[in-house]
Amino acid sequence: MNIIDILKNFSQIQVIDQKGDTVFASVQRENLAYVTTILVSEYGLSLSSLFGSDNRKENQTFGVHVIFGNDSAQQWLKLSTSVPASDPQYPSITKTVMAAHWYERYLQDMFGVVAKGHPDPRRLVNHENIPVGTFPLRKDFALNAKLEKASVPYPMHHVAGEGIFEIPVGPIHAGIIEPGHFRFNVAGERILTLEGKLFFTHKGVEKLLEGKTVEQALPFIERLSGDMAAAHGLAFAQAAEKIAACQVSSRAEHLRTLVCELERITMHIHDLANIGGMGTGYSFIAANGFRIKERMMRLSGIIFGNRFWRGFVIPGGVSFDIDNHKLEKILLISKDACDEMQKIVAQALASDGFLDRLQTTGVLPLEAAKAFGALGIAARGSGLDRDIRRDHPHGAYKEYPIEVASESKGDVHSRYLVRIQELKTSLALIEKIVKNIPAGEIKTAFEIKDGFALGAVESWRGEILCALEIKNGVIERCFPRDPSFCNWALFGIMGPGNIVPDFPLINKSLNLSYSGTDL
Amino acid sequence: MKSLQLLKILFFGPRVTEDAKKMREFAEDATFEEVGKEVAAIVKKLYGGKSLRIRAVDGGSSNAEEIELTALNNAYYDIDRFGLSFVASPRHADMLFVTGPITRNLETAVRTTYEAAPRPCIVVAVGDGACDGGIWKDSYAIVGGVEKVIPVDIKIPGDPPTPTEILRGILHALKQQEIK
Repeated sequence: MNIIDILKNFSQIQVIDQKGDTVFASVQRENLAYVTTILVSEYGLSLSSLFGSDNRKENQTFGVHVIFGNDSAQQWLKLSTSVPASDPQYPSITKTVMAAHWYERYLQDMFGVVAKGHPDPRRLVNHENIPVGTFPLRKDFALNAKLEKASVPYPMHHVAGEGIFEIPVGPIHAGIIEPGHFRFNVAGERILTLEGKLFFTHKGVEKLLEGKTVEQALPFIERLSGDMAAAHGLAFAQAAEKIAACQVSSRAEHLRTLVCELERITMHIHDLANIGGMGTGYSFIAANGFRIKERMMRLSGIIFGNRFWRGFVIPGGVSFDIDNHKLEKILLISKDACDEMQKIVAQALASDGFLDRLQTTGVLPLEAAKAFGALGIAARGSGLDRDIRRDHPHGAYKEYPIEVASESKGDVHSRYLVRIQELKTSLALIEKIVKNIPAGEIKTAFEIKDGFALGAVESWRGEILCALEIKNGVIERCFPRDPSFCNWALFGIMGPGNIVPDFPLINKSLNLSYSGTDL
Repeated sequence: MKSLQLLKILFFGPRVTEDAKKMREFAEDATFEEVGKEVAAIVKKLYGGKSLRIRAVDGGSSNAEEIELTALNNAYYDIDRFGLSFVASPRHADMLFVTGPITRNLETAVRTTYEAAPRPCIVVAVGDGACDGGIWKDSYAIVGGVEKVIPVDIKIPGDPPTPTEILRGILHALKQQEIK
């Protein structure tokens, strides 16, 4: 159903504008929670992002913007409300739409805009050391502000009772991974509750991006999460191109899709090796998987001059052309890597001990996946088959529709199978692109204008939604929402009932980005 | 049936090894081997034939550095051959790798990790962020390079540094120790 038709049923909503696939509308703050609830529960829209903006200079208000995805009609809806600076609060959406829970806590920490009635209004981004009343994304907060060292409580959930223990883990972990803190409340080996404390790597990216040109911002975007450089770069570039009304050439679109799929193959091979090998102790899988992944990283080195698929996607197209000889080489190496990895995982899946660890471990029920707004592999492993490549196709995905892989059991095994299936899909897509890529320009003249747009890309982790607002030729506000942001809270559902030693396996089965979430 | 299947996989299964010479086809691979041999020799001299244990700490990186550190363990690089290995606790470490610009939220964690390591502890800043804060250094959320928090022995610049650059950094750090 078209968004415009849906919105006709709401007297509270004023449609302001429609640009391309995005509808802009506004609502009074009292009605925001109500209409959001109806849009999500009755009309099946997904709450895809929620962020704030500081408009005090223009009209003494803060903006609260909710982005809805309308997958059936390939549309987005940006529903905005404003709250007066003198009374920065609105009724919480989380009370009825669970997917908003972290966004609203984030908004509270970064803007000081309070979601009144939020069931869990604790701090999220701001750790103990950040003084009360620090709102980094307000415009009067200086980028290089030197904050006092505070000691504000950052409470976490506890379970009390006889024989119940609490295990704190992190932020520094035993392996070579990113920092995050996890709190297990256990009875014996069984997990009763599990909660994460993240935002250790919070670098203030959103603030850093403000006032920068699109070109200056790109290096930051590519380094939001080191392993998703191409996908984040593409989401950002798409948003910028929509604002600039810049039409990218077909050849460039093909090459961009190619690099995203190569990134997916690299990281899916990594995950299959990491879950199968490091997660279960089947080191044969890890040793071989990481060897194969290295070949993909070397391929990136040969073609792009760096090992992380960086520096290729730019607003207006791609930074250089890839000739047929190199395209053939890309196909050859990635086909070899995928084929070999398929043989290795086949061996893993033939082992009963291996299946025993993966099956029924870390189950995410479909209802929970829907309620939390799970994305990517986590969603598709639980039967929620959402994929930007099909639901909001961009670039070459329009020409080569993909079949979305999905499994229904929601356990680590399901997520493993989804990755195996996606490896096949990606390789098939790369074959099609290399075969059919049209000749033509790779760069279109790009001149930024003022405005707002969304860039959506299905990275290997899941849906990236980059909200970008340009004013006077520079970035006024940019919220590059990483899929990990929506998936972290799922551990609260997936953990309990499992034994503590299975947590690393469950963690690896999602492989979420800390840096991408923490911004 | 299962055992028959296993035998079949073992004898007629997929190719699971590669020819080391063919696998390491780049000029950089030869450099890596040379640097590795030097590292092995110096580890032997400094630590009496024992190994050098490294603890990696993320001080706020974008995770690209972690990917490269993990790569040091894969079959292409396999730094265990040179007597180097990553350990799970700073208590076991001779060397500390710190990545990323140190964020405010990780300052304490990095400091306590350093305090937990036995002396002497060689601290290596891995990557541009760790060297001086990199592109992030102006932010309110960043403390700065690793040296703002703990004493640094050697810096390995790079965004992120490649496995060879990291190994070369280890060599430099060890040479510094030799002079001391």
